[in-house]
Amino acid sequence: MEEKINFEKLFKELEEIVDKMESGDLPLQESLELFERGMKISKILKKELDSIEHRVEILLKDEEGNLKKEEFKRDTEE
Amino acid sequence: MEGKGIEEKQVYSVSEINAIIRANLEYTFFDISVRGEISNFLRYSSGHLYFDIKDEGGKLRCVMFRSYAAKLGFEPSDGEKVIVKGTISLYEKRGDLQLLVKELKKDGLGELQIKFEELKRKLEKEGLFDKKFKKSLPFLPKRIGIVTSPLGAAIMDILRIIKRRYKGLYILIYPAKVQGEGAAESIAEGIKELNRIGNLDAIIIGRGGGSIEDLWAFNEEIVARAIFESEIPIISAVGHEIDFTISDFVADLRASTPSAAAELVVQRKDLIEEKIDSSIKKMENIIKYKIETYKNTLNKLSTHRAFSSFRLNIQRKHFTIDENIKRLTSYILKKVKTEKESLWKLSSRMNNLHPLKRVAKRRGEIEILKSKLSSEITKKIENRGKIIFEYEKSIKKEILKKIEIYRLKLNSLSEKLNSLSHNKVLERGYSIVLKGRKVVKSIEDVEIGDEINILLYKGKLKSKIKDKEGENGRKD
Repeated sequence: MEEKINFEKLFKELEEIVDKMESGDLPLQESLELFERGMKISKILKKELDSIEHRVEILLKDEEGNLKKEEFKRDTEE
Repeated sequence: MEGKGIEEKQVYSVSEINAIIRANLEYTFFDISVRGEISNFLRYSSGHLYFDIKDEGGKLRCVMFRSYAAKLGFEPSDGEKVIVKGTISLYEKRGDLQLLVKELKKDGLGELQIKFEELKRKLEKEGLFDKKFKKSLPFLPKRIGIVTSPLGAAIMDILRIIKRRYKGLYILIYPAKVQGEGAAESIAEGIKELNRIGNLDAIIIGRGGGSIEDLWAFNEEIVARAIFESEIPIISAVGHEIDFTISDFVADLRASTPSAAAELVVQRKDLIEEKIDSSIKKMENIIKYKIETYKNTLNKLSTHRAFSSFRLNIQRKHFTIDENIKRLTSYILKKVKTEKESLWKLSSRMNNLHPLKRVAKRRGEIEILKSKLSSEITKKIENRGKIIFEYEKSIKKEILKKIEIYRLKLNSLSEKLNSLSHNKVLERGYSIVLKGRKVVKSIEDVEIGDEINILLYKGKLKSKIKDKEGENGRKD
């Protein structure tokens, strides 16, 4: 859960940084600092997006009636 | 007279006129619907149905032939309110008017429809549809549970969309029975089971399109309650756009179709990804522009005359240093050469003196001399290098200092320039309205009653806003 809050928070911060950079005539130093922070956040966010697990599983009952996760295979091109 | 009159007009036979009446009736009253109550219902052994439909004012004879009667989903009975559809015709043998019925259905709401309305009313009253209980999807849904038939169209639609649109999503399917006996229980159990497993951002429940009977499981109370109790947000996606089920009302989100449910989930990530990419581009452009601007300013400054003389100076120094190094090396080389020569003379002299031991001793001395000489040379070169480096450093520092001074000068100059330019405008009779230190450019900037200062070419006026008028209210 904490991870999710972080993602949303960082995403909002990125939006704020871009807004700030776009709006004001900031001194170069401040612009550079914001830029660095913004790029760092973008990298973290993209990494997080890329790291999302991609898998399709189905719950099936085994002989004892316990549910087990198994890979779900059905061709979507049919 | 009467008899003559009859003879003059055409005389039909009964069969003839009945045939004409029948044709006329069947033409005029083709495929009409009539509402009424069944009476005198009779099913013949042939399979044909005979009955009347009536209301307070009249009666109509009806026949439903076997081929149509076979399609009937229920056994009609006397007193039942129905709507019949068919064609009015004449039974020529008896001259009786009759309605040849093709379709017969119960009037008013169907049984299922009534059940649906009842449950909807009940749950609504209990508050199961209340907005305050609706959970929203997480900012970035990553793990989705799906309760549906693994063999149905819904799961295919969902997977197809997720496959087409993106690669990062975990999906856990609970294979549920979605129609027929036990379907509602299976769906409810699926919701509960996925909640037990947990760690899911949303659960999609649904199935493809079908008749009201096919979708019925999603109208059962047990499903509604399971949805309501779910800790995980539930997206209900049953049938087509036009199909509404109780599940749709209780669920946190309703998607018109299973595909739409998948879109709903996938869209989030797409939008986020797009936003990040566009943010990166924007930031890069802004910073590139900024740096470019600063570079230009610096270039302009550095080509200034004051700096070009500096550069010349440095070049001159470099030249002197180079020259020194050259002289030094040639001096050293010369020295080495003379030493070598004297050594050679010495050694040849010693050779003449014969004893080999003495020669070796001399040789050792020569080696020491050689190494002494070369270390002295490198030391000298190093010292020179250090001096050069220090020199360069101090020059650089001076340049940067100068640039800073020029930058400050430039700033103050441009400020002056600005103030001059607005003075010029004022001189021409324009004035500047200030509220506090802010320039008033629009009526939006001030309120009635505000105190403002009007800057004239000479002097300043203090005044108060009496009224405001927008551009449209301009008086000419």
